[in-house]
Amino acid sequence: MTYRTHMIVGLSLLVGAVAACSNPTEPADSATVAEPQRTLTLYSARHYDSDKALYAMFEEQAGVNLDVRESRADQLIETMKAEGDQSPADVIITADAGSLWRFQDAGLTQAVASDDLSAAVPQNYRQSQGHWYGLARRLRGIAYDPARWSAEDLATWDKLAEEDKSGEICVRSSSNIYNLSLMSEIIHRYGADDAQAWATAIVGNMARNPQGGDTDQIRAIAAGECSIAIVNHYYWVRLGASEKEADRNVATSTTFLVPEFSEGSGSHVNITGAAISATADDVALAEEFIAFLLTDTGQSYLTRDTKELPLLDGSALPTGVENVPEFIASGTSLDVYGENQAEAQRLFDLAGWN
Amino acid sequence: MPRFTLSPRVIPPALFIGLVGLPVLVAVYTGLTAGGGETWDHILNNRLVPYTLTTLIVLAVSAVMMLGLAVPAAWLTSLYEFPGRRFFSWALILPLAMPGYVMAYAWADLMGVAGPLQASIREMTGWSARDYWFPNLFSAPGLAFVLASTLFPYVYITARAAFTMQSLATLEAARSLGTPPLGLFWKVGLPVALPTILAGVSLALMEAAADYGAADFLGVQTLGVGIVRSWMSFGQADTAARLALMLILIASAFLISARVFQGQRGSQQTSKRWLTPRRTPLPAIWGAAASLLCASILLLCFAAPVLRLIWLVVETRAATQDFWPLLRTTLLLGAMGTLGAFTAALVFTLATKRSGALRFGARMVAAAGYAAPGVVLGLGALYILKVSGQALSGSIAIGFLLWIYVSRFTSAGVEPLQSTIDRLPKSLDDATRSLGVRGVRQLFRVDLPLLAPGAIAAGLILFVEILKELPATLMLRPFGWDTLAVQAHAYATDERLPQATLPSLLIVLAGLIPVILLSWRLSRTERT
Amino acid sequence: MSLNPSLIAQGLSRSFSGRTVVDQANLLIEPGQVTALIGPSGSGKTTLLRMLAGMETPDTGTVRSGEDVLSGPQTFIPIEKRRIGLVFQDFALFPHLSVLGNVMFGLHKLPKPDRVLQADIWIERLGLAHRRDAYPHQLSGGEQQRTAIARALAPKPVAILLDEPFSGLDPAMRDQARTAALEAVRAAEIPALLVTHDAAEALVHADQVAVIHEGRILQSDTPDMVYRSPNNIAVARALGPLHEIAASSLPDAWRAQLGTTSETFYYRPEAIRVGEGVACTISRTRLAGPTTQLDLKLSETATIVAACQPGRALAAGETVRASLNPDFVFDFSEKPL
Repeated sequence: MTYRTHMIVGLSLLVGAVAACSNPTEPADSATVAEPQRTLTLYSARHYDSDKALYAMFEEQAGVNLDVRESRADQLIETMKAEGDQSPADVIITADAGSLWRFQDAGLTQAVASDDLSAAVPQNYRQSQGHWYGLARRLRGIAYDPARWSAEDLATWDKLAEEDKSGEICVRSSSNIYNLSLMSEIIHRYGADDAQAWATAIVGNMARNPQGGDTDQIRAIAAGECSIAIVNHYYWVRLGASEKEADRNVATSTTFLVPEFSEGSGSHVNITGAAISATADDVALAEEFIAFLLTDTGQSYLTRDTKELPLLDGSALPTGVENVPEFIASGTSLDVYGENQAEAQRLFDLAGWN
Repeated sequence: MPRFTLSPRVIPPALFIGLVGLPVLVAVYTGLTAGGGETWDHILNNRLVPYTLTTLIVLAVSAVMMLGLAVPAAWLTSLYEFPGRRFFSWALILPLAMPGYVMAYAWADLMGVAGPLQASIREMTGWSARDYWFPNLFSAPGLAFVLASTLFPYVYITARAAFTMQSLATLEAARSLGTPPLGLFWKVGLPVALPTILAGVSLALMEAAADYGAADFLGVQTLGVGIVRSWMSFGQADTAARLALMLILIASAFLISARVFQGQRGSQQTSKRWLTPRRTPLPAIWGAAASLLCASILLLCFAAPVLRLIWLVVETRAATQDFWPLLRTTLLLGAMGTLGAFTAALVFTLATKRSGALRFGARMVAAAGYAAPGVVLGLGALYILKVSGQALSGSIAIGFLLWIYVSRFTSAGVEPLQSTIDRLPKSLDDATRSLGVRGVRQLFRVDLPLLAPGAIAAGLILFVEILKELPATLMLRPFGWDTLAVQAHAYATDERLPQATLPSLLIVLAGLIPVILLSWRLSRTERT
Repeated sequence: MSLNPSLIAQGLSRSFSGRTVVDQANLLIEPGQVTALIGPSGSGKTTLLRMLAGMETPDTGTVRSGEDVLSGPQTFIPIEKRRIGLVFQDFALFPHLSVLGNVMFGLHKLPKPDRVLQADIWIERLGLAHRRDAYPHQLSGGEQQRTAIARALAPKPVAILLDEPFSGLDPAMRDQARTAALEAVRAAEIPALLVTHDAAEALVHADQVAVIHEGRILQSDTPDMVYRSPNNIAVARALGPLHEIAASSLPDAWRAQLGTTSETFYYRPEAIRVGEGVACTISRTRLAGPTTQLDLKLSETATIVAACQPGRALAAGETVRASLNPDFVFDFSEKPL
């Protein structure tokens, strides 16, 4: 009897678990409208609540159903490659031009010559043939301890390679796309040899082995482990806007700055962008969606939680970014970030940047 | 029984085993056949050795840590009586509910340079972060600690089983020869139980080798991370599959050593002569020390990280999002995956009961899946998807995801079932058949009821493992099927740890229920 | 007397990886009788049983139940269709079923009420009525064994095979358990094979004894015949203590009594009777229950072993007289091994 009871308990546990959970809502199937509704499928590497609100607005406004798959960019690429012609994806949104380039490189995007989009997005924030368009800007810069350094000491990326920075730099792993894109531009400007020398010098100046994310680097400054952190601007902004007082203190005890490559050459600017998939059924609808993201409403929602900078000049800044200093974009074609990517990783590996 | 031949009866199970093994085989095949190219040369020249070395170091360190965490506690709780023994004997299994990546989030926050531990050191001493040494979690030993602290319960369970099944006569003989308690452990208890314990360690290490989430978060360059890096940074899934091959080789080595260790167990568990030794009460001071040891392990591997997560949730008021749909999806996928993997494990165990060759093949297939990181299996599934020309949505995606769950976790279900079968007298099978019962009737009247104790353990372990699964779910889930793990990971990679804490905590809570049931079951089996 | 067919094995052979384990075995197991199959471990008795039961395929030979071929060159009825009851050394009771459930297990072809009825009859017959609802782990060894026998007999098999069923039992209760169990087996009036390595068990409880040695069945006969007239030294050894002595060491009178020219004789201790006859010195005594074993010195070099029931305690050094009972002296010289 005991054995049988055990089995019954075990089985009913399983069956119960299955039965208790009704099907999670599948947006594609649950739409019970009488007429067939147009569907736009979005593959996004972002996951923000404000994005969801924005998507809902677009559904309302355009009268379409928006299916969203959120995943990491690399996984979206593999998924789309596997799906081939069958892929339901219409629009792809991901952060970093290097990441957009990977979609393009895999043949998953299509070149769109849209006057509307070209008019809205400045040339240096979109792919040269129209494979992808910027939606918001992000800066890779430096958070530093103002008690230790002046802005002058850190005005260019070269200055980080100088000997006086020895044991002072915190930065994350080289496999991170932000570092790869930065390195790609450096390779573009100075060539592989100098780029490797620069990376080697940075490794020599590191306070610790690369570890954690950008936020961790900023925290390490506050804790005194290093005095310079290579980070994207919005991590620093988010710390300043945190619920936790300790986090806000970390932000106020550090200063953010956007170095140039050399004096007057401008700074490394990256984007979050959108691409239209090669398999998109309704390119016009896809364009409409991207154009919607480039309206004032779209811009403000896209940047509200992320603390990125809007792409459109006139758009209102999200709260907290006002402490990010002015900068001039280097104007380098974003195509470069993708083209040099594999080389960048190789040079990082050779430099010993984990 | 008819002569040992390859009868047609083994074909359906063989096909089934093939199906379970297909994703990993496809991934490996792709790795072997795809053109090497520059990337592979680069990885081979500059990275393969460091990746492999780091992986081996992490595994070695975590093996030692697991032994240290599990064996003394298992010895104490199975042979001695001390305050809180009953509580500890089951509570020490609780860390099983913690996914490695959640453990990593929690300890990274606790131990980080800005975390509460270091902050209070600085506050008390007035030092700056550069004035003192503090263990760094973002390192190979740190990762080893994280993995060991979530996986040691597997070793603890096997060690307890080994200690409680030890011959009373052996231990008493040793005592009568004047062996002191510590000598009893070193000279009799440990040597006798060691093969079983090492088999447990091997299996836990297979699981550790497959980790991606924790290593990625802690930035330790293991093979698992290397696989993803070569895929992400170089955009070469083929190279990733090659590195995976290396990982699978390592895991196979563990599997084979587990087999070898288990083979050494000899004729321990045959008859009634092997009784659970009566527990000796420990004198007050030693009893307190034993309680303290168990309590520290529990604090380190469970209470501290969980309490920290709760604290973070409360502090940052992160509970704004509605996590009910995520929880529901998580439980549903867990239940379906458990059902699938359990059925597979059952077929594996029963179909291979009489065929040694089939059993070995099945074990290797299941083990390769178990050892392969979810990323690799996900890749395999995507290759298959590509061939099939389908989109990854709706029921097809669910089908693929469940397939990968089965492929990945069948091995975890086979273990408890197989050990139940191994404990049964072989003659039961002949007895059944001599009474004219076989086939489906034998399954329902004899095999399933007899397997019930192992089946429950298998089901619970599978459920917990699938709840924690991250990479394959991330890759294959269809629209609208986000799980808690997926959500936690998304937030963590965005460096929004406060938001990641609530889903993380919910995974742990969802996993706790089956773990407690499992633990209750194990202690019941021990008593009867 | 009985209408049930015999179980017959003819020319059964089986080898494993080149080693012949059972070699041309012939065996007739008659209904209503207990046939003991005796042999040392490794002699092939378990393999023979497994071939009879259908758990092992013979290389050659046939197994028949009366006229029905169970196993032969063209036929192999698998164990589950063979209807042969099995009682295992470890009893192999189903731990998840009660006594009733175990006994009912093989009755699945009957409707449920009949199943219970039939099972209860067997439970009653084996004296287990009070344990009907107990589970195997709650039973004593003897009760487990009787349950196993009831389970094997309940489906009315064509034969029952018992594989050392008594070896796990407490010696104190073994004899009683054996008698009761085998009585039930005999009452079923089907062929019954009792595999054992215990000579006393075979001789006391079986109706027929077959001796197997190195895969061959050397002799198969009544207990009396195999004990008193073994046709082979291995048979004689298998059934009781056997000693060897050179003819030259024997007193002339005894040699004359035996009347052959063999150089070596084999004898059982009871062949030497203490009382009158040749005088010899006791060199050692050993008490073995009701009998005493004596080492008797025939000469400076020759010692002979005697088993007797003396009226008083005998001590080493005493001189006694001994005579020879030729019935228990065997001469295998004409039958070389």
